[in-house]
Amino acid sequence: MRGASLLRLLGRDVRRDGSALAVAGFGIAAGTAALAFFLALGLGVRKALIGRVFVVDQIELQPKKGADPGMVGLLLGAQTPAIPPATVDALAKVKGVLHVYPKLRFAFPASAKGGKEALGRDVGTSELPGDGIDPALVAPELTPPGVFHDPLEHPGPACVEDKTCAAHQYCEKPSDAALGACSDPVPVLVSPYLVELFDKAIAPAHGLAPIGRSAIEQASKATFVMKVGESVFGRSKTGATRTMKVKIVGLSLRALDLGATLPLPVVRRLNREYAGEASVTAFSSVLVQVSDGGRLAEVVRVGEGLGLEPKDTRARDVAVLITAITALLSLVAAVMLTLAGANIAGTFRTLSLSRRREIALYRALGASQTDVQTWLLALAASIGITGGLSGLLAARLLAAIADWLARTRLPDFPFKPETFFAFPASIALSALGVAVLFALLGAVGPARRSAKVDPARALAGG
Amino acid sequence: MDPVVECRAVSRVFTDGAERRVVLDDVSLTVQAGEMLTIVGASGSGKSTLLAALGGLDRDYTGEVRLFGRDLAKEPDPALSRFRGRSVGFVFQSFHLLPHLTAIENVLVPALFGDAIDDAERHAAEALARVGLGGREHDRTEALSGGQRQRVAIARALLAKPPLLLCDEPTGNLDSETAASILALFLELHRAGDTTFVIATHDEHIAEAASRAVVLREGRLQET
Repeated sequence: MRGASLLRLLGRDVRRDGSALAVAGFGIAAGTAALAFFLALGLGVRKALIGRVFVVDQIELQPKKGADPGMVGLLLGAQTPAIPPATVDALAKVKGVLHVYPKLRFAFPASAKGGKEALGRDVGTSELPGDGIDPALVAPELTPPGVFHDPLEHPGPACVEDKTCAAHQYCEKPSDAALGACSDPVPVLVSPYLVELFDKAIAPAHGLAPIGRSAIEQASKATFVMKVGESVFGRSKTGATRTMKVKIVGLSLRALDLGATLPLPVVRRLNREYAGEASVTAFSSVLVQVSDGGRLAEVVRVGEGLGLEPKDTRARDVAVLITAITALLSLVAAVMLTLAGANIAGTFRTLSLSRRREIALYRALGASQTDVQTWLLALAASIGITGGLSGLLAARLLAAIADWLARTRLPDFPFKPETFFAFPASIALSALGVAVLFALLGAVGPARRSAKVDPARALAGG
Repeated sequence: MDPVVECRAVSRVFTDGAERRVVLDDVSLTVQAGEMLTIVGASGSGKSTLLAALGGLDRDYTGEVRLFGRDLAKEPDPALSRFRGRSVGFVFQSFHLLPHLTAIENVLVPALFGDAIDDAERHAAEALARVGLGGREHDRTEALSGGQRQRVAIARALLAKPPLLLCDEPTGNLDSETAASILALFLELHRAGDTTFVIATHDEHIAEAASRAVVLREGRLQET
């Protein structure tokens, strides 16, 4: 059958049986709306959590807790368990592993204070835990990508004290060195958790204004002074207490949750200075990046064989939970669509019975069985498309209302997203495809039966 | 040249549970091009069943039906449907017009299926004019009289200019005056072209006017 003829037939059907077809399409619209809404909600929540709060294409492995000597062990001279370079190499060879980034924890006490230029008053901590990570790990997420680097890659003139360097610099002079080199402030990354913790817990308690994520840009204008070799808990056994300038250059999920994260070469230098050569390659954990989340299980298995365990499985747990809830809600939508399909089947059964003679006439006038099926299935597809588009529109509307309610009625909470929904084209296309599929499934039986109408009998009135 | 219609030993049996009813019994019939043949018989004699078999609407018969040399029983449905749309026009006793359409839209229904008909709208208007309904193209068929409706049905049958018209009691629902005008129309159409007519009727006026008549009695055919 030619397209123009089909369109003409469909147009006549809509004019004749518009209300019956609209009722049939309503079920499809409701089912599609539910499906699109739930899928968009699942994807939106996943987007809000995964990436912003959790990362799923990587896992951090640390020495098993059983290997920890504990306080008594440490007092007896035992070493804190660490990951040797050979283990890092072994993990890098696991299939699907893109990169292995070792983390090196501070092997020295430290504290920090500053930020007045940006925050209005100095803030600080008398005990600053920290670690070092490979700058390559975070380069893609920072602006500019190279902002997180070892400042001594390009050392300034030789110096013995800060005042001989430019105003924004400091003199980086190790404990046992006679001469240092002028250095730009060491870049520091902080975790988004830390900002959320400050904004939602610390700032209200101290009457401070929340700094927010955007204020990190402001903070980068401020310099902090980090004291190394000494903190509130005491002094390092080796090395001298000295200060260095640091500045926050960005937020990263790769940063230590509560502490400061510095470029790995800087921490290596400081560890060597305060804890000796062995502390330079005694990694506290490794961050393994994989090509996709499905590879993580194998990484964990190999890691267990190497005496490691996952530091945090929340990302995986959250991803599984979101997937399960989305699947459950989608099942509800699938039930709605099945009912809508059954409704369409009923409508088409009635429609084809009431048009039995008309169909027989078409057959007598040259329509083949295929023409009759094509016509009725095209009608069902039109209902599916119209119902599907209406459903998508309804889902977008419901999502907008839900977001507005969340913005205005829900209390503020950490990582509260601007929207709980994500509507990529793939959701629209999938929902539309499912709507058409269910409409066609409902109509296929009646269409086949209509095509097999005995024209001679139907025209004779039988 | 092949005959237009060639029927050989055609039998058609309807079964309803254990009941078996022979409606056509060993019917053989040949119709040559340009003939106007009437099949006369009482109600229930099998006239409509025979026409349905000749038009390929019913193929559950035994024997052989050939139309323009083609064995209808052996044609696959799409090919048969296309062939029927192109070669056979049907006129029914109860018109079978679609009440939600206008006269010209009804005439154009065959153009929806099968091969495209060039300039179909113009042909449809011409067909309506030919049956005396010029100017009534956009009237709803509900607004037309019985005779006018049958004329619309005839115009619809003529749209694709088929070489064979199968008419099943075309005047059965019409009063005698209107029936006479329809007969006159058939005769005029027959004279004007080389269309072959096979008309099932119990209207003796049509039988008398036709070039040949056969009688169906209890499923058996007799030449008169």
